[in-house]
Amino acid sequence: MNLTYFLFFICIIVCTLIITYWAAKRSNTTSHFYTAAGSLTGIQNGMAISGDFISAASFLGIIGAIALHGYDGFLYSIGFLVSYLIVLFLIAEPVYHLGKYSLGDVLCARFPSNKVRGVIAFGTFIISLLYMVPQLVAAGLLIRLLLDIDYSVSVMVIGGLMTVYVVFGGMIATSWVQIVKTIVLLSGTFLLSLMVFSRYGWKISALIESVRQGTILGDQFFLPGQLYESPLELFSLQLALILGTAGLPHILIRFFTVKNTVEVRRSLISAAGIIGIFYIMTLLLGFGTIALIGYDVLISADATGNLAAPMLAREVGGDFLLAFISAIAFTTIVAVVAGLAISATTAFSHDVYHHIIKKGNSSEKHQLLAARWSAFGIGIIATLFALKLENINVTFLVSLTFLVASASIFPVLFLTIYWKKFNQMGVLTGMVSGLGISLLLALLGPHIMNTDGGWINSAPLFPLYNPGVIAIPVGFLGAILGSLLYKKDQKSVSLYEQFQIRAQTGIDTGGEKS
Amino acid sequence: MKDLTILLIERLCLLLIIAFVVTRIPGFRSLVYKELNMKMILLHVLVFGLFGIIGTTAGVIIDTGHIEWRQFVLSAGEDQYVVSLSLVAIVIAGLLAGPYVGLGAGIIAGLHLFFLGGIGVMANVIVNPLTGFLAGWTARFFSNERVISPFKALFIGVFPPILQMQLLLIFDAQQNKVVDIVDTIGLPLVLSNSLAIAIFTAIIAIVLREQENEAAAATKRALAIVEDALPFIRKDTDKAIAEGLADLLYERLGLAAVSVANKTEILAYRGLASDHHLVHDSVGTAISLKALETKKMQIAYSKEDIQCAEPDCPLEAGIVIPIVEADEVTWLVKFYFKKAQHIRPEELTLAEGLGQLMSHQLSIVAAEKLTAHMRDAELRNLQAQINPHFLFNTLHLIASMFRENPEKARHITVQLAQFMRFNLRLVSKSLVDIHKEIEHVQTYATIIQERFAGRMEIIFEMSSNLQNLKIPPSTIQPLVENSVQHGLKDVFQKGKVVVQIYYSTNQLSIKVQDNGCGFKEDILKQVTKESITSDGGTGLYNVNKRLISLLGKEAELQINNLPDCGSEVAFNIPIHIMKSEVTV
Repeated sequence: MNLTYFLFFICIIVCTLIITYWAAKRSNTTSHFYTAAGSLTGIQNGMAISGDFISAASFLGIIGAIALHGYDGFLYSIGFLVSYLIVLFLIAEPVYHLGKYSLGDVLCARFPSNKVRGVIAFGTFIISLLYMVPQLVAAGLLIRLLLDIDYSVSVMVIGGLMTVYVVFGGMIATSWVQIVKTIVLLSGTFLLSLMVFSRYGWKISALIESVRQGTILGDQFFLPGQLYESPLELFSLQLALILGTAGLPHILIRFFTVKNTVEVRRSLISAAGIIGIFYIMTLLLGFGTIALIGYDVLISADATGNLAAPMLAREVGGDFLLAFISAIAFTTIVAVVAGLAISATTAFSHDVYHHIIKKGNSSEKHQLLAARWSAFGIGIIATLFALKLENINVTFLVSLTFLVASASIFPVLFLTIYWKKFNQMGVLTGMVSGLGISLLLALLGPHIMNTDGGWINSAPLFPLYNPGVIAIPVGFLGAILGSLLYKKDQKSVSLYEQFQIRAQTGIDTGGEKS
Repeated sequence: MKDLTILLIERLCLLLIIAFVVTRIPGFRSLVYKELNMKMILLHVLVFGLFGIIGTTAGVIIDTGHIEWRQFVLSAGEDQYVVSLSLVAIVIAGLLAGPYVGLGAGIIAGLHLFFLGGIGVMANVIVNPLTGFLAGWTARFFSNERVISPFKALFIGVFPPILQMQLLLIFDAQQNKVVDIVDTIGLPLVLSNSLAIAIFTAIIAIVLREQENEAAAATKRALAIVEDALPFIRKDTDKAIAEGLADLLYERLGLAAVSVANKTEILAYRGLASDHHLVHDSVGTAISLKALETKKMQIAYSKEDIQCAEPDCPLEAGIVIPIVEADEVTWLVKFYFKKAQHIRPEELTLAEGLGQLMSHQLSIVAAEKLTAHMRDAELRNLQAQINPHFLFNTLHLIASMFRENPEKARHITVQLAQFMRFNLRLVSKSLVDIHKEIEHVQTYATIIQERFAGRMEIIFEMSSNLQNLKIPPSTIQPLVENSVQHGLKDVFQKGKVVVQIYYSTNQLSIKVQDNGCGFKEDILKQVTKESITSDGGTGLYNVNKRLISLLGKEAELQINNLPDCGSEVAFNIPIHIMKSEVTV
């Protein structure tokens, strides 16, 4: 193992632990633990959201995808960015006004019921776990590649770190790890793209020319149609990406960490700005990789293209820069998994333990203890899953996360905020149908069912890799039908106006409190 | 790589030693401490820029993988790279003094590197100001502490060398050997720089903490001194106050000399050069007058400012502290020092604090005195109102005497006039000669005895040594009046009131006894505590209140019923308060 790499990793670990230690001294109330007591500014929260959102898949995967597939790779990343418009205009402020710590709070503001809370908590838990496992697996693989450490050791290191951050530092530690990650990631990629540019004498035409020579796609590199053969697949994928973000619990609970609506908007705008800038740089880096390294070398190192960024770093800056970029990738992973772990923790300890098991009567001290233990448990569960699932297709799990989020949480959340006739039964049927159809279609789809080494060795029953185009309407349909067929619950309709005012302005006009 | 790391750490240790020594110089410590104005920013920029240059000079020169051992980096060849250690100084500048100082110091260090030349000049030149600015900004973003904690500094310190390497890769991307250079020096630079930055931050944090402790101690000292000065401030005469203060300050502050003056002349002087800095000298130096005029503390840093006529005077510096009472300077306290350097920020803070605290205390004392004055004036006014019954009765008495005994009527009229004159004078004086007071009581006694002829007798017993004693006016007469009106109300013959005034070595005791009915049990307890409005029982209450407010608790009325019959009302004035404390 290279000493430089090792020292950089140690440095990152020590830094994040210092942050955690500092945060742990402050995380002594549930409000601090779950939401950093609303103490972040909009800009800081925007950075933390970016830190939550830009996963290793984005950083390594998209650079690789752009390097290999050109335009289509970039199109993939654009979906992530557009999704922020949905969150900004439709979801963020109502969520901030209605909720306290978790998504369950938001829905229970309109439908105060343990069933609703339970099913939302379950959804949150499943989505966070589904997202956490591929992150951990990818992290394990990455560290094995970079540091030559055994896969299980590296998964355990990352899982352990994630657990430590969340158990001791709660939301404060998580937020600051994410902020640091965003700064380091952004400046690192920025400087790396400058280095690439400088290689071509600051001339973009020289870079483009070199890209054309490096790729095997020729001019096709700059045109769509390389990665997604059918427009339906592309549409389906983009639909899940765009709507999925608005249903990702770990992003949504970040809005509770600021103190007013202005800061909520500011966090979203800065997050969208940061993520946008980041994806533009991935474009440059993707170009740089293919121009400087070439298609063949890249493919021979790793067929998925995930090593594009590290290889580029080694090419322009030698081992030193490679170590730095790897450390950034490592930070990226720990920041994202910590964010996921805290959202799963909140769902379990706040919704399930405090509200459902203890009926909202547990003391502050017990809640905090429960939160820490849940964080610990979730860390262990996720790590164990990741250890077992070394060979799983990471991209599949990530797309499944977005699919589940867009087909279950998003429809339910959207209808809760905006549909007058929506009711409690609708929440339950929407969640169940969305979750069920996503998992079912994924199971029957070509990722799992295929004749070429799939888990189920037969022809796929469902032809699409990305079933979002079916699953999302089914989720909406389930929610709508459920509430139309079960009309007994008239009270929630009459209270809708009060609820609507509260959701949009935060003014409580005397409705029931959750 | 290992060798280079160790070499760089060695060089940085050298820098740290210099830095440590510099932080021990008093001048530097005050430099770090002060508020940032434009001048201070420039000064910081220069100091840290210079440090950056020293850092570069203490660096090493690298020649494509081969370290060139040089004592000092003074120039670099075409294909040589200067491994500068200036970033340590620049990052510290940013962390401590903010982005602008970081930027400025970085520009200085960058210019120096520019003139050295070699490979990667651009990167070296740019990285310094950039890092300085970013470090300052980062410190503000991440923490509100004045000095960032060493751990955070360690973490922040990792990034400047990384930035340096990246800039090197950006600006000199064409040269293949640059990648080699980065690989060789990258890690050593990261390790050594971050470590040095952390240690340096720790050193500065210690310096500042020390200084804050000193400031805290100075404040504590000022408070303690003011507390001890309180008794002196309450003294009666200016002279007593001045001498008390001068003694206290001279003893406690270890100054070369202290003088205390009022607006016009020096009232007390302690310490060196008392042979020509004399008490009763008039206040007239330029800075004293300036202090009087501006009501602000003035500092004299030279002999000229002190304006001492004596050429060999050992005092070379001083602080003039005006003490302001009700918006007017009433005292000037001067601290003298043998050398101007002895005036440290601590002394200034202490002096300023003392001045303010004493001003406040004096204002409080003045306010207390004022309130006491007003209360006394009010009470005297009350007492000066002659009981109308007494006046009418006396006039009737005089009227009835005119025919039978005009001589006596004339005598009583004169007595009444005297009595009334005294009462008028009462309003304007807070102390009267005891003989005047006795005369007043006797006047009253004459009138009363005439009115109740045969019913009662008023006897005076007093010692002969009552010269030059003063007491609050109209304190005895109300006691006699009380005995006559209440004690002897139902006694129609052989009534007796005895007024005893004795002056012994330590106190003046005054006692009024009667052989009447005595006080009722319930009245006895509250007669001095509250004014009993029913039958004119305010007399004793008022007297008691005035005695206490003028002379203190020791002089309060003592009221007892006598064993067989009658009552006794008495008060004592301890001689030490009579001599000194009667201030009103």
